[in-house]
Amino acid sequence: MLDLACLRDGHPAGPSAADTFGWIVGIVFLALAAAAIASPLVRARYRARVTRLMALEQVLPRPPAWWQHALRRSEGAAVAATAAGPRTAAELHARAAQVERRIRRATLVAWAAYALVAAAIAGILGQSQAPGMRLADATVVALFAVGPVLANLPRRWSRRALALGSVALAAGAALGTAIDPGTSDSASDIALGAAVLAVIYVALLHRSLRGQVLPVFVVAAVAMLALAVPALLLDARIEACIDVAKAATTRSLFIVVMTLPALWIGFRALAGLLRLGERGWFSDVSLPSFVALGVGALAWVAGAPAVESEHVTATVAALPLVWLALTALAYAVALGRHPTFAAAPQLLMLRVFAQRSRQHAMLDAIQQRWRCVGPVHQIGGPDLAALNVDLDECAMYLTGRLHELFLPEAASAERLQSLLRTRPDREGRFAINEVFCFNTAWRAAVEQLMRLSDAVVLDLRGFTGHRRGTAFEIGLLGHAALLARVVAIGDVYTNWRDVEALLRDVGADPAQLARFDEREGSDALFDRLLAVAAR
Amino acid sequence: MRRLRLYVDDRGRLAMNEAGFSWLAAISLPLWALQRRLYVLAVVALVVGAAVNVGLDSGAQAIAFVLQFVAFGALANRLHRAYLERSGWRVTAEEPAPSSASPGR
Repeated sequence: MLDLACLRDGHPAGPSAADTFGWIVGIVFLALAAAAIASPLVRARYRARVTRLMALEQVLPRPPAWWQHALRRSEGAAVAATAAGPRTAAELHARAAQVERRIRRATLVAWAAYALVAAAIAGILGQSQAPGMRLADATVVALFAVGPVLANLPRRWSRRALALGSVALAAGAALGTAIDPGTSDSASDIALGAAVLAVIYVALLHRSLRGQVLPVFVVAAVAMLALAVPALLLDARIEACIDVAKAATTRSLFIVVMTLPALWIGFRALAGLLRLGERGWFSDVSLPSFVALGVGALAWVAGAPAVESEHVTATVAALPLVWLALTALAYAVALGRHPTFAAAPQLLMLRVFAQRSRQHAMLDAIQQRWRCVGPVHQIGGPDLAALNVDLDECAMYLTGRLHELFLPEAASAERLQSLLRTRPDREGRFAINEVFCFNTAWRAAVEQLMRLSDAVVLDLRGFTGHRRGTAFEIGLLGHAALLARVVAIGDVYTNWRDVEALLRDVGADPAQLARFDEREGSDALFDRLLAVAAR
Repeated sequence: MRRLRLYVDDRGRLAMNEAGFSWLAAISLPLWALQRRLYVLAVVALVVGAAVNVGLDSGAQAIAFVLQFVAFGALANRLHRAYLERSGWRVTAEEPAPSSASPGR
């Protein structure tokens, strides 16, 4: 039998602070690596699940309690749309530029703060305190942060975040090695460090992976910490109180019993993060950047002389969190006052479901720019798994509740509007609303979305008359006399004759459909859409 | 393809049921039960798992794991469906049979 009194009262030497800190650092990196490895699998499974749920057909209407629950879920984020006030394309353009400028300024201030903290804490970390060396440390850290910083900037910069960030990372590593020639790190240590930083970069900054990596990372890191820290504290007592043969059994029993509570804590942590996101504390764009900076801060502290010589105090252990908090504070202060909510033009993106990255690139460019002036709505589909999976959707998938996001049947315009997030977050970015529908709901939902949107971008690249879903949408736009709100993107594969035939079938004039050649680029498309929304 | 069904109760709660073998239930019944909010089953499965861990030697544990893997994987979804239908949950949506599936989008 276990001697519980011994476990409670025994006072064996516990793990040192350095050991505990080492465990925490190891667990965080292990969780990140696990999340990075698992994310393509999660994405594939998520895509398959969305495809199957989209095929579901409702056979029994949902009780009113379900609708109340669904509306409660979006409470706080949803604000009934107000009629858009008078606005011109120039005003909307200026608003977008203002939001981008504000985010750019705050990001650069946060970048500077992040680098300066590295210089300020050199003494605590046992690094050289000479001004020149502090400056060099700040430069190394600033170079590491190039990727996360770029990822939070407007798209013309963020699309190069991974490439430019990797170059800056290599430069930072070279500079770090040059200013610290006396280091005793072996080639394998340097290779391990480089691999860790590369994992951070790719996992958290890759446009199509970060949506899955982040939630898996949060759950895995918190769960592993909740499991490992008590295990670490108990381990010495177990060894002191129980003989060797039983100690192994006791350890495995502890892991079996604690795994579920630890996972529960991990998912609660993710839910707490989601709640902050719903309240607009951060956007889906800035969060991965902050997490990358936090992990980078942890790596920097873990590699400092004070930690390597096992002089880990509570102050040193808390430094990564303090560092990140100061960076976030600088970002918040530089952002300034929360932007006042104004009636914002809503954009609906309709598309041929496709997996081509060229198509995704243009749609992503448009949605990233448009969310500076208003919310973006889309019918959710498996093709967007690489583009728009946010924390909420991935968390719902991981907890086996993705089906709760799906509309089962036609909803009234008011009900649908109240399910959409139409308010900007504190950074000024509006939400991208993916409206998931069962097969029995998407036709009605898309019609409602067309009516409440100020502009509609209809991506017809690769369209032929065989695409029945898109053909239905074209007919609907013509039938509802909404062609004035539409800009249709085409490419060399677009069969415009089929489009014209579909419009004639519903009595609409094909000449009313504004066509756009994809070769004109996303900036020109953005301007065209602003002009449509300004009408 | 395995058939997917969505059940609803009077309180508006949803439960997903999929016919066929469940890999998650085979690997970890408590996790499978938690995903379906079957909390009592999760706790019972956890206690049984812990008891097996303590009470059996390593050879017997391996045999027990294989038996659990096959039994839980094969039966979990079937029993879940029976439980839902006996407890008054009603089918609100289902996957169409492959032959009748409309092409949709």
